[in-house]
Amino acid sequence: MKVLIVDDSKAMRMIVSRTLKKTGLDIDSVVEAENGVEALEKIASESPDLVLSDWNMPEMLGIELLEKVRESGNTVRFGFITSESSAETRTLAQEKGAAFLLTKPFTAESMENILEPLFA
Amino acid sequence: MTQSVTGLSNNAQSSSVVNSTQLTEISSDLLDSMLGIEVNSFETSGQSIEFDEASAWRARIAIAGSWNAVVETIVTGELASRITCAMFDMTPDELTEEDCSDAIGEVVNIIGGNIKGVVGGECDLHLPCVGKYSAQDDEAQNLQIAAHCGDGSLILSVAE
Repeated sequence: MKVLIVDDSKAMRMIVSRTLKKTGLDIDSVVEAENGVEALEKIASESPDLVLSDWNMPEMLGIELLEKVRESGNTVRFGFITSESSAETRTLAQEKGAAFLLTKPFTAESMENILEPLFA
Repeated sequence: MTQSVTGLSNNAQSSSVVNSTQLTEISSDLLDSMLGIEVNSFETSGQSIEFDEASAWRARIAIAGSWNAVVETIVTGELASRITCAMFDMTPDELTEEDCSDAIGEVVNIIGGNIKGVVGGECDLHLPCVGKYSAQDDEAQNLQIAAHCGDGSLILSVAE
């Protein structure tokens, strides 16, 4: 499985990448993008199996990224890893086509629990 | 220069929607569960902590909408290094100021997002603002807790 991690924080991209590798999931490769524009380019060029995106980013919010991905007809599995955990945020993410919303802080176990069903 | 935060909060124990127990849980989840940094103790004040202006960090993030507040964290240089090392999987001698700024910004972003989740309603979480600590930027707070981790400490505050 190829995973694209989208987060403006280098620290958080590293944590997500490291945590992914601690799960029992079959991760072949991880690519990163630090904003929505770069993410759209990587989705087109790298064809990831899964996009893990932050919500609150400069230039383009994660939800705007998801909208653009879906508008282009791309059905890649897309989930949010974010500190935004309100019911409103979850509802909006679901309505726009996100598969899940994992709240920060997270552990390898909580990440595996939410990702495993997607690839079963 | 070393400064205590005595002037930061005179009776910082009152918020309309969040409480010190919730701040403690959020801090513990972040430091202990995600970063693997053991919290030795919490207290509902940080007035005894001294922050070195040469090494400590301050980060703020605003929540705006149906509830308006600024969430702030001040971190000693020692704990900032530990947090940054944990996030980047680095040793202290490898760290740069940019790494620390990124890491402390993510700390306040996660805490702010979790507080926003507790509050609910129509609120926006702004982007974090991070810089080195300066006592002259201290402001009155409504609610404050402190977490002690080894020889480093962190203060988490909410100002409505």
